[in-house]
Amino acid sequence: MAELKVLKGPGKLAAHGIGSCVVLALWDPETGLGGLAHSMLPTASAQPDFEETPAKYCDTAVGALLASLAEQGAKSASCRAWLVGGANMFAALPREVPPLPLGERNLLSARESLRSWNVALLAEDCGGDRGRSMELDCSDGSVRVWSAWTAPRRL
Amino acid sequence: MNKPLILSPLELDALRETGNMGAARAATALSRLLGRSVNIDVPRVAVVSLDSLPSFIGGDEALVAAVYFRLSGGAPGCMVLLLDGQTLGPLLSTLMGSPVTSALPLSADSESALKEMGNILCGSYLNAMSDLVGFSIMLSVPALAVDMASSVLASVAADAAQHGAQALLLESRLLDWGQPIPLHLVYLPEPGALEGLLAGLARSTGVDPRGDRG
Repeated sequence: MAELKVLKGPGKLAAHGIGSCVVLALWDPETGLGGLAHSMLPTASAQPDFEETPAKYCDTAVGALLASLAEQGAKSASCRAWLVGGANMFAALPREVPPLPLGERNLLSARESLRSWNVALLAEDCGGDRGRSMELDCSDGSVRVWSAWTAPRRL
Repeated sequence: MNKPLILSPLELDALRETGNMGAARAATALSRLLGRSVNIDVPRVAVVSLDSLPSFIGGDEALVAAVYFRLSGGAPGCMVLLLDGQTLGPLLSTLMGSPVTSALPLSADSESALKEMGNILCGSYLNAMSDLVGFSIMLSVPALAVDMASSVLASVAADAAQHGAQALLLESRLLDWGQPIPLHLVYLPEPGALEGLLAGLARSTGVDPRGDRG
């Protein structure tokens, strides 16, 4: 969690047991470079550690992952994005001051950040009350998602 | 980031002793409820990082049932009872008094039974703790999730805004029901809450908790 991984294909990057977190997958078809950022909270503002762990926050994760990919030679303009996660695992939990559950706030922040970076969101598997696992195959840019109750399917 | 918590052997002993007292109370309550003898032991208490918790219960994708409480009062934070998905069948059969062959998906009755089990265990433990430290600790209503261990625990950690922090793990076992059934009780303190508990314990036991800290 709060981690950022980059890989030049062939090979796979995976995130297991995603709950209210949001995992952002980026892949550049021109270079075969792919990356995952596993974010836990919606916004970095007012958090003391966001400069050290930008991937922890949905709004700073996009820029941080794009920068890591660019360092390896990927082009931001050709990167494609997927979002997985943002579930509300304890549906019965009494809400506190923010009216939306954390998973949903994570998603809204991640989508907004992708828009501001002009990155195309190809597909997402998000929300609901179930945990997910996912993998990105950097050789062809395919993303698979599964859960405790469902077999892997291509996103 | 939060600084790592290192507890002295004396502090861990004090917490385990509280765990034993809580377990005894929970066992009495369960015995009365079920009309049969119940024993619960607490073989281990440890401070573990949240990230490593799934490894105690079968890995990131292992199926678990989690009963989740927010805590308020003298030791704010949250508490989770984690049950291994594979033990749900035998556990529910005993709780419900009739064989439960396919435990999942949980029936409404099974969900209630697990929440009640969480209430009894977490409530007993916190009452024992309250009595020792001299301040009250209140439980919220329980919330239940059955899913991959990492999905559930990461959501708990995010809800508690405690990522990177450490949790107190009380490994307990329900005995006398065939194979021992592991019950993992996890306390995620808010910043400063565990220190408050330890100070309370030190006052009540008269032991300087830092006496043998290496």
